[in-house]
Formats: sequence, C-alpha cells, structure tokens
Amino acid sequence: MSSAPSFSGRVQQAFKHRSFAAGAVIVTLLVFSAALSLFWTPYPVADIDIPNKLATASAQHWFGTDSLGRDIASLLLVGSQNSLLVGFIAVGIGLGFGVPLGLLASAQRGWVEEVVMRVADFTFAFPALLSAILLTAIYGPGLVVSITAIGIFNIPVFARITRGAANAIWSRDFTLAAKAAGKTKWAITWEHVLPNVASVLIVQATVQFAIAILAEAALSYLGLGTQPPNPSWGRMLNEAQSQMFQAPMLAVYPGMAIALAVLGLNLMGDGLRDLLDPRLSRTR
Amino acid sequence: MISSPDILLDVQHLSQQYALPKASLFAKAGHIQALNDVSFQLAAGKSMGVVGESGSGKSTLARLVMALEKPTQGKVMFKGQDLNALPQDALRRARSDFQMVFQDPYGSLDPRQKVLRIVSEPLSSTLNNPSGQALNAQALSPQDLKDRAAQALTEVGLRASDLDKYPHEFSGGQRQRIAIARALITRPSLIVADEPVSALDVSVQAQVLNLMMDLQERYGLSYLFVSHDLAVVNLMCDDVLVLQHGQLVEAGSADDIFLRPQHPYTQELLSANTGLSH
Amino acid sequence: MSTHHASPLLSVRNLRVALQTSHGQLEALRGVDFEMQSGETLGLIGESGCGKSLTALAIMGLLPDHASVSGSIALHGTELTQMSEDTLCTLRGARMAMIFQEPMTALNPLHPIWKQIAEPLQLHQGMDLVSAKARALELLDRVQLPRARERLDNYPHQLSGGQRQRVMISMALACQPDILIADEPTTALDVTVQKEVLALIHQLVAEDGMGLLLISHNLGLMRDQVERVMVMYGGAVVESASTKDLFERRLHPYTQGLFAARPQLGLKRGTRLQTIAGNVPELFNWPKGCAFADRCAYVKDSCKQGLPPIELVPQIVHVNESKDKDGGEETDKPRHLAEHWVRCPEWQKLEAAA
Repeated sequence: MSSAPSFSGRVQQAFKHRSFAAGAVIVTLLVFSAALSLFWTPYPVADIDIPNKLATASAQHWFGTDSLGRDIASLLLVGSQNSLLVGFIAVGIGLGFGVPLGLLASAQRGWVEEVVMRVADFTFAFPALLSAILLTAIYGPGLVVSITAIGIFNIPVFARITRGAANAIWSRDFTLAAKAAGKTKWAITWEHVLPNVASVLIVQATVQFAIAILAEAALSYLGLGTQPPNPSWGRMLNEAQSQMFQAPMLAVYPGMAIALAVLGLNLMGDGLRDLLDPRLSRTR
Repeated sequence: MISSPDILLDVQHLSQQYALPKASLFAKAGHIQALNDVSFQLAAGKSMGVVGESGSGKSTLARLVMALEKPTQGKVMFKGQDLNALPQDALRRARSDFQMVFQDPYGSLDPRQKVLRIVSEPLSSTLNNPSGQALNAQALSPQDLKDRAAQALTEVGLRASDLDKYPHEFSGGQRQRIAIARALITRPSLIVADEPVSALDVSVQAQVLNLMMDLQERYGLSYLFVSHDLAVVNLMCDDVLVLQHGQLVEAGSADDIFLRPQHPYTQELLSANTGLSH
Repeated sequence: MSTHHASPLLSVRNLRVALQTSHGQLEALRGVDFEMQSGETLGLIGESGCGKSLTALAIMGLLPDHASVSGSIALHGTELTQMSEDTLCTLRGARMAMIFQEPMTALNPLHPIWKQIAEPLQLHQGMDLVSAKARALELLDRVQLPRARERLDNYPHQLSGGQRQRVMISMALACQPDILIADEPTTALDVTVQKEVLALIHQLVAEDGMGLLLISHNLGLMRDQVERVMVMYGGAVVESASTKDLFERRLHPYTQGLFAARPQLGLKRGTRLQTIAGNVPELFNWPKGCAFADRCAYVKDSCKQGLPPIELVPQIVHVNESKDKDGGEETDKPRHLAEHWVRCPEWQKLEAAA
C-alpha cells in the first residue's frame, strides 16, 4: 500500500497549504523578533530622548519615537518577548491542567465527568477579562498575575475540548482491543487516547495562544498587565491614546503588531486543522 | 449439556440490561434487555457460532464473554474461573488466554501506532502466558517482543517488514490479519471473533476465513464466532446459537440448526439467507 | 408497459473518469460501455475499488470536483456529460433517481420524513406543501411502510434501518423517474429485511416500467433481482451476460474466482474456500494492461501490454425461449439481453476448464 510520508515529506506538504505557510511565516517572524530582541535592539528600550520625541519614521528610527523619545521599533521587538511569554505560559497552564482533567473526565465517566464539566461550565460563566481584572485588583497588577489569570481561563477550554475528543476515541474499537489485551484505563488513556486527541489540542493551542496575546494586550492597555518599564504592546496603545492627534501612528504600530501576531497564529491554526485531521479520517 | 473435563467456556444464565437515558429529570430510567438468560458451553478446540440480526444481543454476548463488561446477572466461567469474580490483576493476567477480533478493520487498530506496537500490545501488559509459565513483562526484552510480533505476522501471511508500518498503509483484509496476529500473540485458547469478515470483500473474506481455519488446526484454538452470515458460520463452526432480541431461541450442532431448524425464527433466517447468498 | 423510445433509456459509451489526487491523476474508470432499455434491470457487481459506485455517480453527475469525465452518458438520447449543473439538477430526482447504502446518513436527521419526500415533489413538480404531504403519504403506503399516517411526522432516527430505506425509496420514486440507480441498497440491513426491501424495489420497478441499475457486491442478490449482470474489476467491465447465463458459466478468470470464493450453506465444515491469489491493486493505481494480470492463472504477455478489448462470446442464443418474469407469454427478448461479453482473450480456455 502507500508508504507513510516521512517527517520532512510532511513538512514539505504542509508548506503547500497556503494558510499554514502564511501563518507559519508570520509566527516565525514573531519568534525571531523576540529572540533577536534578547540580544540586540536598535536602541535600548529604556533610553529616553526627549528632544527627539514623537519623531516620524526615519532612517534612524524606523517607526519613529514615542512621547518620551523611545525608539518604537525597539519597543515593538521587546514587546514581542512579552506577548510570546504570555502565550506560552498561559497556554501551558491551560494544557497542563485542562488536558488531564478532560482525560480524567472521559476515562471515568459518571459523576467524575459531571463534576469536572460543571466546574468548567462554572468557570466559563465568569467573563474572563473581568475576572482577570478582578484578580489583578486583588493581587496587584503585573505580568505574573495577568499570565496566571489568563492561564486559569484556558483550563476549562482545554478540559472541555479534550473530553469531547477523548469520548470519540473511547468509542473506537481499538480502545476496547487494548482493554481486551489487559491494559488499564490509565494505560489506554496515555497510550491510545492522548496521541489521538493531540491534533485537536495542537490546533486549539494556536487559537488560545492568539487569544492570550489579545487578553494580555487588553490588560496592559488597562494598566493591569506588564508594568513599566517593561515594554508591552498593550500599554503602548494606551500611551498612544493621549497623542492621538499629534502622532496617530503611535497607535497604529502596536495595533498592527498585535493584529499580525493574532492573524499569523490563526492562519497557522487553520492550516494545522486541515493538515492534521483529514489525514487520520480519510485513509480508507 | 455434557460436562466434560475440557469445557473451555461455560456461560451460565447470562443477562445484560442497559439503562436508557431518562426522558425527564424525575422519570424513572427505562432499560433495554440486551441479553436474557443465555447459557451454553464451549469445549476446547471446538467452535461455536452465534447468529442473529441487529438487536439480537450477539455483540453484547461477545463483550461479556471477553469480560469487557460486567453482566447484570449470570456468570462467565473460563477454564473453571468466574471471570467477573476475579480481582483486577488476576483478570488481566487471565486475558492472555482469551482474545478478541473485532468487526471493523479500520477502527480496531490505533491509527497512531505502528504495527509492532499494535501486535505486541497483549504481550506488553500481561504477566504470564497460558502454559502456566510466569513470564514477567519486564523479562521480555524489546528484541523478544519484536521477534514474537514478527512471528505472529508471518503466521497470518504478512511480513516481518510490515512491523514498521502504520495501519493506513494496509488494505482492509490485511488490517484484519494484523488484528488476528494481535489476538494470537499470547497463544490464547479462545478467540472471540465479532463479525470478523463482514466488512471485507468476498475474495478477501475467503482468504481470512481460510487463515482462521488453518490457525485453528495448527494451534487447537476455539472460536466463538459471531456473525449474521449463516454460510460462514456453517463453514467455521461445530455448534450454533441462534439469538433473537436477546433470547437464545435455538442451540445445537451446525448440521442440526441448518438442516433441521426447529424454531420459526431460525427457519426465517435460513430462508432469507438462502435467497441471498448462493 | 414499457414506452418505446427511439433511443435506449441509458447509453454509456467509453466512460472514463480520472481523479486528481496528491499522487497525480489516477484513472478510476477505464472505458465503461453499456446500454439499458426502459424497464430493464441491470446489475453491477464488483468488490471495493472496482469503480461500480463511481459509475453510478458519474451517471448522476455527482462526481467530486476533482474528477474529470470523458466519454458519453446519454439518458433517452440526451447527453449528460457536458450538461450544466443547473440542467442536471432538473433531471436528478425527476428523471433519474438514486438510493444509497446507508439510509441514516442519506436522510437529513433534522427534517421529518414527510418533508424529505415532499422535497422532490415541490422542486420538480411545483407542488404546494399540502398536496406534497398528501402525496408523501400515498408514496409511503406504496412502499408498505406500516402505519404510514402516524409516521409522517417521524424523524429518521425514530425508524428502523429497513423503514428508513423504504423512505428513501419513496423519495426516489416520488417523481416517477425513468431510471432508478440503487447503490448497495440493502447491504446495511438485516437479512430478513433485505429480502423485503429487494422485493419491494422489484415490484415498484416493474409497476412503473423503470429501468433499474442495481449495484452490489453480493452475488446471491443479483440472481433474483436483475435480468443482466455486469462484473467490474479494475475500473472496467470484465464480463457481462444475462443473469441466468452468468450463473451457469463464467468466462473471465476474475468472475470465476469471485463465484468460487463464496461460502455456501452446503459446504462441509472446515472446507477451505477457493481464493484468488494476490491482492487487489492499490486504489485506482491500475497497471497498464489488464488489472487482473498479476493474479491470473491464464495470463499472457499481451494481457499486460494494454487493456484487452471486450469480446462478444458466440453462443447459441435461444432468444424466444426466455419467459417473462410474470410467467406469462413468451416475449421476444431483445438480442442484447442474452449476449455474453467477456474481456479476456483466453476465455476459451476457461470455458474448456469449467
């Protein structure tokens, strides 16, 4: 029969998919910017240069400067670190707690499933952003608190999605075959269920990543996220508000950065969904 | 029923009820009687066919015999042991002696695992083989597992090189062979086959049935063969059970059932079958 | 009974279908030829991947977008292959109808059954809802659905498999099409129900004088249901004959193998079935010549060079001998019904060996 494509073969095939390719390029750019900014930025982000404040784009400052004379390009680059960090950790929290809960609910069924799902529903009932604001009000604003808040709201998302996908896997005969072979429920969950729901989770993770970036930007805009002097795209938007008539571009740059990051992640997620799922269900 | 020392499987008054979802919060949950008081015995080396249509309970019977579900009533005695009374790890150990082949060759193999892992699954989780030797799972080295798996594949007409492939690289008939290899690898005494060839083309069916007959002769296997196809059951089985709506309506040797059916339902099944398969 | 048209009900000439896949263009059908007259029943038999379902879909114009069709398909002389989708829509359901294997997925789970039957009536005959509902009831009675009046508002999941299939049949017959294509209509049903549903199809087809193209992998089914059978393998028709003739003698190695591989009730316990050596080639990846070549005991070099042409087997045709299904007067059956065609240059050897 047809041979299994090698990993590099599959990667090649992946890049033929337009959504995925476009998304992957953008996300790579984002990661590259963050990595680069760890070592080098055009200007140090803390450097204030009042005489040159609100400069328009030029050869010295590719995107101009803000109201304190800081180089916007550098701010954007370092800000990307922030966004990526939030994305990774928040999604990490969601996956780390949500997936096991979902798997547990699906494996146990009965009252365990009921309890897990109702707790998830309960958490969904709270508007995520307002709850994040509440948490930062209690524990003080800052990166750590905002990441935690966003992360907590990722948990029920992944729990629910994992449970749904896992239920579908449990109804397939090969889990029954594993049971007949003598495997325990947990062994089956680890060896059979999890690998088969992984593709769904990967796709959802890219979506949640984008949402996390947006959420952090919103919190920072409100002053509850990353605190100065650490750059944050959200806070840049807030600072740009007061300069709306003198230097409207100040709002455009961070806005575009956020939009581009979210777009890239969504495109990649869309592409992954197409690439990962049909391969499994269409091989008849 | 003749009680003889080599009764492999003794099913006693097996019944199974499933609860239906409640119509409303305070209504009493209804139930379906999937199996009602089914009893039979299967001797070592013999094959028993289970025929019936959808809703007859034959698949439920297969799952109960495999102790994949607990019956509402009744016992499943395998080699003298009540499977449902065994503690969990004793049951898991006992499973190496009875295995199952499923109907859907596309659903019964994990698409994410290579054939090696699929076929050696029963070995990696059991602690002794039926000949009584304690075979600690840790004592089976990866090479041992691979050798046993390769051997199982060649026994079903595939190649050792197929170990490295994924299920989607095989046709339906080949996948069913992989499933049979998996069922064989622990050298069980009983294989429960739930419609093992129903999803296969006629010419492929013939190959797989021949294989199953060869394996039975070579290893002295017993089959509990569930099927809706009377011609196949007649070919493969010594004795037959006829199920209708969870009840055992007739039981006997294959010749008795197919040549001299007594119960009107059996007669109806036969006439419908001969009209179609000939 | 059957209206006489100048042109045959269905004429398929050199039908070729190619599918665009990630592995390139694959030939799925390699030149299918046949003809059907009004009122004729034709069976199409073969295993997975032979192209029988694709043939049906090609006739109905339901092939996926990545399929390219060449050749000719003519319904009462009207060419279908180049027709626009809009025109095809007016024909589907009205002049040609299809019923599928899995009634649960072929019916919309969200609409009550009367609505689904009414759909073709409203679409093609412009009926209003009330008359369509009344006609739906008539149709359900005709397909012998028990307690049809009560069941009108039922949803598909409330019916059994056999009942759902009856609903599908009534949908197909609603506008009294000229041809009914049934793709494995009873495979998903219990044996006892299969008999009833097939008998129903048989009766309705005879009453309406429709043509019936019955597709199945089940040989036994063909024996009682169709006048003529075509055997497909590797995207082409390899043998075609009247049912009676085919069950008496097979002249293609594949057909012989297929018949010999069936388990039958008379066989002794433990008899090994006769199998066809080898495996079906990878889906639609046919070799250059005859697709059966590497499994064939009679293979010659010429078989591998190119697809052998289909030949007419000369035979003593007792054209006036055949009786009508109703057991009445002798009818002068059209010559082609009794013709036996085979796509194998070695057929004489097979005849001698049989």
